[in-house]
Parts: sequence; C-alpha cells; structure tokens
Amino acid sequence: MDGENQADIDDSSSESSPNKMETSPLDPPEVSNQVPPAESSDELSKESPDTSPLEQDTHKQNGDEGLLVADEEKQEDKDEPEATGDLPTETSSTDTKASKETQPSKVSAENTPKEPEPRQVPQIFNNGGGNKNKTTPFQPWYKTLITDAVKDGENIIFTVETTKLDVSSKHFKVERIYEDFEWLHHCLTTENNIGGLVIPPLPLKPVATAADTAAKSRKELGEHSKTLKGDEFEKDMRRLEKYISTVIRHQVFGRDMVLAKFLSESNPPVRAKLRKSILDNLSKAMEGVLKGVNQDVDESFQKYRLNASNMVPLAKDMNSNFQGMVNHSERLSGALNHFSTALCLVSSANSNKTTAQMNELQLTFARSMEHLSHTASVFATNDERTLGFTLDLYSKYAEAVKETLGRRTVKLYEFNSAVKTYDKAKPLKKQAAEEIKNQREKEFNDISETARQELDQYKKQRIIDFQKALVLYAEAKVKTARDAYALLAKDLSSIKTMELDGS
Amino acid sequence: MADEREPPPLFENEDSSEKSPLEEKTVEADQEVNLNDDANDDLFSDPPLLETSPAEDKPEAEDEDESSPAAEESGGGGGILDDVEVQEEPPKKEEKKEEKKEEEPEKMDEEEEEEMESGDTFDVDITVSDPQKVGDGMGAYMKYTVVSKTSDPSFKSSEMTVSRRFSDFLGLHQKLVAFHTTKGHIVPPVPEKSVVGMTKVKMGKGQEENNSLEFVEKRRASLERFLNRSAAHPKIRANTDFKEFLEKDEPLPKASNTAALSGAGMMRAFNKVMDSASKVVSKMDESDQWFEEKTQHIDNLDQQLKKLHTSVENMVNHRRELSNATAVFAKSCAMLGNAEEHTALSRAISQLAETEENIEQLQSSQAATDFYVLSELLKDYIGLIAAVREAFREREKTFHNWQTAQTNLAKKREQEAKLKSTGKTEKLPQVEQEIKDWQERVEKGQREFEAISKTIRREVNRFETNRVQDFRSVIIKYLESLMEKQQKLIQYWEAFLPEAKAIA
Repeated sequence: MDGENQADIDDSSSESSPNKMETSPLDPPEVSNQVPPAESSDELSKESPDTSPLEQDTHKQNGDEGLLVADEEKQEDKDEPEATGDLPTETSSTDTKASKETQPSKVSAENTPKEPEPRQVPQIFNNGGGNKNKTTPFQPWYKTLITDAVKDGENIIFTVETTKLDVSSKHFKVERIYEDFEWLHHCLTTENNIGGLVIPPLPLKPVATAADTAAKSRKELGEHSKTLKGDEFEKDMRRLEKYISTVIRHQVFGRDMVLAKFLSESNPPVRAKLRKSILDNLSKAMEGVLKGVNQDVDESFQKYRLNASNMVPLAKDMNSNFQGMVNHSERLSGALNHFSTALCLVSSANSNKTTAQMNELQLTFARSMEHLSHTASVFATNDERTLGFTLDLYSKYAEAVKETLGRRTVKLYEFNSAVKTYDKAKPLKKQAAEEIKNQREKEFNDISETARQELDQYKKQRIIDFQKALVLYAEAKVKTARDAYALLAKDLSSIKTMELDGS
Repeated sequence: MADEREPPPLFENEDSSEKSPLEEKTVEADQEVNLNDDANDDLFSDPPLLETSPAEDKPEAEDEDESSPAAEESGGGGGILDDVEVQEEPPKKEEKKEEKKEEEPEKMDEEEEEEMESGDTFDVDITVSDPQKVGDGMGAYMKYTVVSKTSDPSFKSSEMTVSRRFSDFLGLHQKLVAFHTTKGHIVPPVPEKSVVGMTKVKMGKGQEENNSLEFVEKRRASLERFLNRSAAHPKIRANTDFKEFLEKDEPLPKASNTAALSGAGMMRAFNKVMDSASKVVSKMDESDQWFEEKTQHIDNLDQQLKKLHTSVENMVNHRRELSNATAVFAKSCAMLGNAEEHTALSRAISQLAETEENIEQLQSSQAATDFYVLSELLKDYIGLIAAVREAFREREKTFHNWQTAQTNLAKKREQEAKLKSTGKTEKLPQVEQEIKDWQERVEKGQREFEAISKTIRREVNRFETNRVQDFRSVIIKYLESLMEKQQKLIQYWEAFLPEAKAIA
C-alpha cells in the first residue's frame, strides 16, 4: 500500500504530492514525519519517508489494526521515521531528488545561507551511515520515547530513552524533570535563529502537587463529585514525548547540541533561572508592530496571516470544548457507577421467591449499569487519546504559526522602515542606509522563504495528523459501542429469560 | 408499566391445597425457617443456573474486547472488571441455592383464592392524553382526556372516553384512600399538586415553554400510571367512585377540598401531623412475625428506593450536561470547519460537527428515557411504599381500637364485679348492657383486625409480585433503549469514517 497523497495545498510555491509512508501493510496510510523540506523551493515539498536506513526501532508495536486502541504510543510509532517495512528504495523511487539540496547529516555544520547553524555539529552525533543523498530531507538523528514518570516530592521524573539512529545505534536513558524540558526549549529558541521557523509548542507543566491535582480533578469532575482523579502522568508523558519528537524531526532543532546533550547526558543540564518576562516582552513588542502593518506584499502570506489569526481562537475553543465533553463523559461514568452500587445495595433477605427474583433482577441490572459506566469511561479515554490529543497539540501549534508569521511581519516592517530611511537619507548617509536596506531586504526574503517552507510542512503534517486522529477517534467509538451493545444484549437476555417460567 | 394491569399469573405449584387462614399462619411461621428443598423445584431449578455458567465466560471475553480500545493502560481496568464479574457469579449462585429453600404455597393460595373470588381476569387499559389548558391566569387548569378500554362487563361499556381535570384525579384518589386504606388496601399514588409547576403552566403562553411542557408530560404520564395501577387492583376496580370516574360523561363535581391553598387543605395538613404524632405514641405490640419483618423490609425498601431515585436523577443530570457539552463542541467544530482552508479536512470537520450533533440528540433523548422510564418508576414506587405504610398504620389503628375495646370491657367487668360485691344493683343492668356492647366491640375489633391483617398480607404479596414484574419490564425497556442507542452510535460513526479517511 504505497500511498501517494495529494494534499490540497493552496500555497502557490509548494509542489504537491507528499509521500505517505506506510508503516506496515495493515496500518492506514498516514504518517509522515515532520520533515522540513530542503531549501530549494521546487518540487520539494515532498517528504520522503524517513527511514533510518540502518535502524529499525524495536518499539514498533504496530500490529494494531487495533486503531481501535487509540493508543497514543502507537500513534507515535507511526509518526516515527523508522516505521516498519520501509525500505530506502521506496524513498528513492518516489523522491525526486534532483534539485533538492539537502540537509543531510553531514559532519560539518551545514550552513546554507538561509539557515544559519550556530554551532558545529560534532562528529559523534552524525547520522553517518545515512543519507548522503543530497536530495533527501532532514533525517532525524534519534528516536526518543518517554517510558516512565515517577513522582518525587513535587517533581515528576520522566525517563527519557533515546536511540541514536546511526551505525552506532547507541542507547541512552536519562531522567529529566519538566524544568529540564523548559530549559531545553528556552535554549533552542534563543540560541538559534528562529526566524521563519514554526516552533514546536512546549506542553504545559504537569500537575504534581496533591493540592493542584485535587483542584484539577474538581474542575474536571465537578465540585460535587465524590471521586477524585488520580495522577495522570501518562498524558504528560505523551505530550512531552510528542514535543521531543517534533523537535528531533525539525531540521534546525533536531541538530542542536543542547538537544543532543539533553537526550544523552545522565546529569541534567545546568539550568539558569528562566526569566519568562523576556519572552513576554518580545511578543508584546510584536503585537505592537503587527497592528501597524496592514498590508502584506505577498498575497499568499496575507492569506496565511488571516487564516492563522482566525484559527487560533477556533482551535482553542474546539480543544477546550472537546475536553469539556470528555470531562462530562467521565462524570457520567461516575454517576452510572454510583447508580450501579446503589442497586447492589438494594437487596433484601431472600424471604421468598419474589424478593429473590427482585434481588436477581437488581443485581443483573446493577451489572449492566456497571458495564455502561465502564463504557462511558472507555469512550472518554479513547476520545482523549485520539482527537483530544491532536486538538490540544494543534491549538498550541496555531499559536506558534501565528508567532512565526508575526516575526516575519516584524522583518517586513523593518525592511519598510529601512527603505524609508534610505529614501530620506542625505547623500552622506545614503551609502550606509543602502546597505542597511539591502540587508533588511535579504533578511526579509530569507525569513519569508523559510516561513513558507515551514508552513507548508506544517500544513501537510497537520492534515495527516488530523486525519489519523479522526479515523482513530471514529473507529474507537465504533468498537466501544459494539462492545457495549454486546454486553447489554447479554444482560438483557439474562433478564428476559429470568422469570419466563415464573410469576 | 402497563403490564401491571394484568393479574399476575402466579405460581404453577398448585399441589398444596387451600388451607384455612389460621393454618396458613402457623404453617407460614414454620416455613420461614423451613429449609424445604422440594418447594421450589420448578421455579428456581436449573435453567437460571445453567444460563449463568456459559455467561460467565462471556463477560470476560467481552471485557477483553472492551478493554483493548482503552489500550494497555486501561488493560488493568478491564482486568479488574473481569475479576468482579467472576466474583459476582458465585455469590449469585449461592443466593439462588438459598432461594430454593423457601416457601410459597400458602401465599400463592391466598392469592389464588382472592383472584378467584373477584373473578379477576379482565383487562382494563387506560390512557390519559391530550392535555389542554383551559381558561387563563390563575384560574386556569389542565384537562385531560381519559380513554378506558375494558373487557370487564361490570363497566358501562367496553370503551369510554371522558374529560377530567387534575383536581378530579386528586379527588378520586382521596376517596379511594378513605375507603380502601382503612381496609388495608394499597392505593396507588397520584402526582402531587405542584403550585410551582402549575403556575408556570397557567402563566405560560400556550404550551411553548419547555419546562412547562415537561411538567405537563410528567404529570400526564403519572396520572396514567395511577389509573392503570388502580384498575389492576381488583377491589379498586370494583369501586363505584372509580367506575364513575371512568364512565361518567359529565364533568364530576368539583373536588374543592383538594385545592392546595384552602381551609380544607390546612385541615388536612393538620390532621396529618396529628396522625403522625399518634403513630409515634402508639407502638403496637407486634405478635405476628410476618408483619414485623415486613415493616422492617418496607422501611429499608423505602430508604433504598429513595437513594436509587437520587442516584438516577444524578445520572439524568449528567447525561443532560454531556448532551449540552456535545452540542457546544459540535458548534465549535462547525466553526473550525468553515474556517479551514484545506477542503477535505474542512469537509471532514464539518461532517464531524454534524455527527456530533446527531450524537447530542441521541444523548438528550437517552436522558429523557432515563428520566421517564427509570426515575418516574422509582418515584411511583416510593409513593406506593408510602401507601403500604398507610395500610400498615390502619392495621395498627384497628389493633388499637380492638385493644381499647378490650380494656374498656375489662373495666366494665370490674365495675360489674364491684357493683355486685357492694350490692348496689341499680346500675347493674346498665353496666351489664355496657359489657355486652363492649364485648361486641371487642369481637368486632378482633374480626376487623384479623381481616385487615389478612388483606394486608395479600396486598403486600401482590405489591411485591407486581414490583418484580414492573421493574423487570421497565428494565427490559430501558436496556433495549440503551442498546438501540449504541446501534445508532455505531451507525453515525461508521458513516463518518469514510469522510475521515478521505482527508488525505
């Protein structure tokens, strides 16, 4: 099942048909990794399937046509480059490599003019055996899973396991807390030229203290709920894992040294205290600028910006409403459980046949209510793992996209200012002004170009992710409903036959 | 719930002959303790047990299936359910074995007797429909159309249609209680007068308001159940007031003493308080173990039903909230779908919105079913239990009367003796007359007491049998509606799947 997918891309610059990678014959066509296209803008918005030509990861568990299972892990696997069954041949055949400049993992820091890489990539992290092929897009160097989360006082310690995807296939296992992730994010975004890049969104801090957990549970289950939700580190694990995975696959961030250290060094990186105020100030400055500039030079970007702007609140709403639905489903599950228990308690001494029958009836009914309760909770869990996860991720991504476009707009503004300055400049300063103008122009063009590619990439990935999520979501629902039906049918028949002979 | 009207075809065990009431009492007492295996041969024999053993395997299999969607993480959850399943089965089996050792012949006989006496084999099927608002403002009221179909020849015709207003129902209920409860019969409950609810209806413009519509529907259904349950009771069916209610073409005389805010209302409330005070004071010496057990049983049942009712109401609320949340989500889906650039995704998301909307309809109708089917049933039974309690209290009153008569008789005898001893014989004839009176009263009291005790036993058995049937048919209906809902869910989501798959 080699799928070629047509993604509708209304962006003028990109070419079509990204390849879809099959992870296994049974899996639905999906996945592709977030492979950023190469710099040249021609046919390349293709994502060739990423295979680590030499490595197959052991974590494959892809035997799931159990999409029903909506297991996020499995989703992850499908996202991962080393999906099963991929052969390098697939890539070569479908990829038109000709004009593609690569970012192959080369030893030296590949600094194409457009994407400055601030540091040399040391040899050891090289995906040496891999594609020297100039035309393949960025191959991730690692595969990472977060396999455990343990609470330690007020912190949650995550176990991060990484396999290097090269000949050495070295394996690392480190422990990190949320603040380490935060620090990583900070370094990645401040030490690289993030310009037109769409930055993978960092998940929110997990709720760790008992008081916070209780508060969160009350919020989700309602003030009067008699049950409390326990720690839900799984969700945090999945989110952080997804975050790392998107970072790894990013052409710029994936090669970052800080990332490499993060994944491999046993001791957590030394952190400086993060002063969030800096970031906030930056975005505020951008807000001011953005308001001033109304018209874009590029029509397609104008469209992007409009769309991005609209998307942010819509995505947020959809996400929070979805979460609301999931919460209510959980509450219903609790109520059903309560009802079932109450039914069990309504029994009397078996003083005669009728009371005995009554008891049996009640118990059977109680059991079926229990089934129903379990069903509701399964629905909730699956919903959250499939569509919920994706909605959450993309509502954050919507913000990231908006910010990327914002940064570009800032550059546009600067360019425009430089032009004005140049125009007004007195002969003495003309030269300098011209230089500045040219520089600004170049910066602007660079960022536009990068942004375009990033956004293309992002859009494709988003479509794919959504499709996968929606399919899994619906399939899980169907399966759960079927199971519920079967259970109810059984209970019903046992009640129907119960007193057929009797009173 | 309409099943009720049919006289329960009772137990097939017809071997035990009809015993006299006294015999029955003693036999009963014995059999409570008697572990008689033979008694229950046909009723609780193998079939139910066999059925559960293969079923035992299924829950686990099913649970396995069910637990897989929830993935490994919930695998534990599914597993736990398995354990519970397995554990539930053995206790049930044990219960069943115990059940085998119970008695039923005498009770069945009593019922049979009763049924045969009243020739109770006729159907009466009553529907209450078409609520209409009559009049305006505070004087407005609802009238209902009552259609009765029956094969009972004692009624005027086999099909009757009349128009009645709510206070007519209340009036009928009052009369029935006054007549029947004193005999120990259990009179089905009527919905309460609800000043709040009715005011909404009265003030509302036509029948547009959802709340008042719901209220009216609730009431209508409740009145229907009241009439059907009453008709199912052989004695009540024969009651002339009841018949008149169903038959008489003209409007009934206004039952003014049912008005909520009236002098009569106040008096009734006052009397109720007095009654309950006296209940506390006169605790009867219960010589009959059956009654003692039953009282306990009824009290427990009352509590439990109330808890169940609360629990169901809770459930209904949550379903409603879920339904609302789904509607909200559907809307935001639609908005996102509109804004989405990518055509296929946009289409899919809009389709998702539509699907979620359909699901929301499903859920809110499920909530309604929960409510009308389960919650109202429980409420009815709470009312019925109150009626049972009333019957018990009447018995206590009767006992009390009897005891009082006995006390007085003793006093008079004492008086007689005293008079005789002191030689003052003028008053003697008078006292002797009084003694005769009291003696009569004592005998009457005893008769009444025994009659009411017997009646109550019958009634309670009938109540319990009906309860099982009622609950069973309601539960079946409910489960069927749940299953239907799951089917629809499957349909909707399967319809959505191709759209989702077609995105890219």
